[in-house]
Amino acid sequence: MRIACLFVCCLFVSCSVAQVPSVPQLQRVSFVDTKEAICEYAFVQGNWQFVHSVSFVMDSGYGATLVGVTVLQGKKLKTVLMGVEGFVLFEAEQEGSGRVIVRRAMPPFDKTGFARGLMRDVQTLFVEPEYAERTLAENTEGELICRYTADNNQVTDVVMAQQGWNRINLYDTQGMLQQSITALNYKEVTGENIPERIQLTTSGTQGYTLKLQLLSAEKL
Amino acid sequence: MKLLGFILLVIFSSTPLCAAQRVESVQADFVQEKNMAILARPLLSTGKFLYQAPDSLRWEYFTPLHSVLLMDNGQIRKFVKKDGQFVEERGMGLNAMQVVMQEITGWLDGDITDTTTFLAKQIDANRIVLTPRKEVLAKIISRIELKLLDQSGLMESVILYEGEDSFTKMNFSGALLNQQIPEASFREP
Repeated sequence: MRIACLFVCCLFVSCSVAQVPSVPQLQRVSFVDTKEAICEYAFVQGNWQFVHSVSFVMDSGYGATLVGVTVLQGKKLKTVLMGVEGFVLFEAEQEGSGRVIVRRAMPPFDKTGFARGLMRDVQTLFVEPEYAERTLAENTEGELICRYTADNNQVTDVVMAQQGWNRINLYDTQGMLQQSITALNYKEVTGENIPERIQLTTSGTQGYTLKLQLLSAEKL
Repeated sequence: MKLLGFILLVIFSSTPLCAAQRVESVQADFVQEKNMAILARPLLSTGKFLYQAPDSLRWEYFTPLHSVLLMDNGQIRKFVKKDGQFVEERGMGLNAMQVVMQEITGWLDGDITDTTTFLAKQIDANRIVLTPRKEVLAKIISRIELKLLDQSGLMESVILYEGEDSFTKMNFSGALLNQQIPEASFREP
């Protein structure tokens, strides 16, 4: 009887041991590769055409809804702002060198500095920043951050949150927050994660908030 | 917004020029195709419009962004659907729009060639080209081509040229002429 119990116990124990998962094999990756993968996740790769509804509110309370088209082609950025009915209010292109060519600018989008500001916004939203140094770290909340530091010491932090949103904080050369972009509700389009909602807030005396809702995303 | 409304009122209120039957109302579905050199793909929109003489218009887009432009008794309002509800937009150029509306009222019973805004030229039996008289408007719209259906008062398509490489084409379908349209259609989204 004791032998039978011992046999049953051994069988039970051996069966139990067989059900415990073993330590999985891990593939060694270099830290640099991991950092690149994590940081680039926040930005689309390749050529795209995005169409967003763009609701903007100035600090003065003035606001409207427009349709914004962004075309990313290699190093070129093209952007169009049009009324919901299709009339083009603003059209510009930024070359790889950073030179901005304005093709059309109707009032109030013909103000000095508007084109450069808008192209900067578009670039911040969609293009990984140029950097002299890129570091991956955690903030005090435990969120993963890619920090891009440019030659002129301008810092861009990409906060990689876990709940399906990212945030990009752009600081000026004095270290003051200049722009904050929150991207929410990511969905997969042609193998890439594209945010369905984006909110961009710019600080300063002429601050404004842009809310973008994705209408279409097409890989070119 | 104001420009589109302006042009549409011009187009619809001017149909007596080429129509034997007086236009009291028109309604139709449309597909709008926006072409620009800068775009890798044209942008498509779908919608429906209602027009009631002399100056009531409902111009509604269903896709890609649900919005409604209403004109009624000289009042212009625009609504955009956000999070399932229509929100009125009050910011953009409403004063300028009222100025434009005043100009429109001068046309409504008239012949399109009488307008101070556009020169009309009949290209053939079914096509009219409108060219802005004023340089200010010409910077926004260089010309408009109207293609008329054989049936009086109805149009097959409108092409708005903003420049040589930028134009918006609207193709109309399911048009109904002089049918009763509820007044509320021009007042509420």
